[in-house]
Amino acid sequence: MLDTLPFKSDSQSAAVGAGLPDLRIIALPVSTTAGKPAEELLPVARQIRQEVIDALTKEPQNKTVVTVRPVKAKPAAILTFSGKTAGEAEENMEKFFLANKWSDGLPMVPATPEAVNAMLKGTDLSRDHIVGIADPRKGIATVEKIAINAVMAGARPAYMPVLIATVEALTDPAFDLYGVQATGGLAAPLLIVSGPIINDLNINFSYSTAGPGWRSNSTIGRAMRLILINLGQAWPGINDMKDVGNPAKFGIVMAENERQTPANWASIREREGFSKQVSTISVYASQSYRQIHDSQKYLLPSTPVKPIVDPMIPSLMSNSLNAYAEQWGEEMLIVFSPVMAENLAKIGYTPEKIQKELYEKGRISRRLFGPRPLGAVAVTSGIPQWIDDLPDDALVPVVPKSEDIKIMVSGGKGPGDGFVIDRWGFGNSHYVTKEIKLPKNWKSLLKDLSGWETPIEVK
Amino acid sequence: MRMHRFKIFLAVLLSTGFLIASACMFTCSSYAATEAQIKVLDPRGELYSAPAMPINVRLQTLTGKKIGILNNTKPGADSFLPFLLQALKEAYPTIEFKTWTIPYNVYPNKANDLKALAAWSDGVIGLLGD
Repeated sequence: MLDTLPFKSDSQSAAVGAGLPDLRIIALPVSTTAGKPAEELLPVARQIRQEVIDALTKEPQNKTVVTVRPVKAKPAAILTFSGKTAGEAEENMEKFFLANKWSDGLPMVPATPEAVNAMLKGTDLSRDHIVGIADPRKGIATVEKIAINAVMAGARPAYMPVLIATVEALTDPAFDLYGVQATGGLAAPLLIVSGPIINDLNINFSYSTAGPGWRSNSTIGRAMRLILINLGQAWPGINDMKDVGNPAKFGIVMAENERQTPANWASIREREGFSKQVSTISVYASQSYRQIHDSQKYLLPSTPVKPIVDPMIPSLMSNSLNAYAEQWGEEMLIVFSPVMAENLAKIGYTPEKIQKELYEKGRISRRLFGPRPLGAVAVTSGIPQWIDDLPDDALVPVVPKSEDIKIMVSGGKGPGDGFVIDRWGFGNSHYVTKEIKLPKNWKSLLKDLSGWETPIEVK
Repeated sequence: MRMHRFKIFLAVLLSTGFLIASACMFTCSSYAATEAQIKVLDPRGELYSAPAMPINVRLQTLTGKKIGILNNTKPGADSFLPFLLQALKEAYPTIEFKTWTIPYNVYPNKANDLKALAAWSDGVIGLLGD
């Protein structure tokens, strides 16, 4: 297997995960080969030629013996840290976690056996129940391990049902967690909560829902990141190859503002096929966040009013202009503030009408995809033959179906802003929604949240 | 004189006692401090790996062999492939290459394409990356 030098550790990690630890991986001594001229690449090929020949003709020194590891996780081991004082012992724990890449860099709450036992009261599932297998290293996500990382993040036991559903969603093959974690792109899972649990857990759905200030939003997002670090075991520069990363990797939890959603607009969970009574969590491989603005209020009365969706179109189409063919087939997430949604509803828009209009108007030239035939990239991106066959000037939708433009109402009643969040496109990640299942002791569990709430401003 | 000696003895005794007590306090307090401990549960997930498989027996030589090339469609593979083949042909002119373009993500016929690559090839070189 040949790879470029920065990706060698990523390839090794993948080979081990796939059960091929002896796979011979040869690193080309360059950061990339794409677009490099012959005078640079031929000497590289000659330089690594003998390694390639050896890899095909020489046995590895220590050949792996075939082993079978059943999916059965052991209970978590206890780690002991000492110091002159309790505070120093905690600091030594933090230092150990940092040195071993087990931390997100922020201070940790110690996951003592007592704290983890308390966290486990947030679920009816047994502590050894396996919720999923987290890529890229295929860490077994037991309920116990989720609880440990939740404690470390500062989460409360009542958040456990959300975290368990989050792990179910992240490890659903439709989400392509492997790709999201390992990619060099900017992917970062964004969590979207919908339903009555928003009120139960004091999740901020109003002003700056995507920002800090609420225990639930902040620690659920942080717990997700710690789970991705400690169970998926992705690490920057080893098997998480994002060139510059994404601030959303700290963990963003947004909640739907159903209270201020127009009456005739269904919630996002209902449009994903769930009933109004349940609560859901969705994971979305967010890439970039672009503001959209209701600019009509700045127009002079004499200026002809454009349909309100028009200003959004450039934001919708500006995704990855340099790589349309590779990134085609993405979903888009549009977050309307309550004021924007209200204005749209007043002139007869529903989410379905907005989806259709954006699908029709937000089109790009076939020329941007590259010359015909597209070949392998068409297979990778799922580009249908009819698009490949179009003349250069023909217009192509930015998503395969109008429903791939996801719409939700969130945030507070401000001047009328929202944003378009495009999805990481080099891969097959999809918007995945799971029901949040509540334990039998839900009502008594919520009593624990007393004193942990931050008032939510709703105007 | 006797009284004076007694005072000296008492002073030495008290000083020694003070030193011993101080040393003891210091030792005892350090001992107590090093005892501060915190016990936490390991947050790392146990790794599930697919059954670990050894790689196939290596070829004796590349002379006259059929080497399948797995191009995973990342841009870097396309760029480098012609030069790799040229460099290997320089060393083994009778080597035969055939390239399979198999995208890195999942698609319906992927398993069959991989089987076809394995069936044709004496050995396989995979190229991936950016």
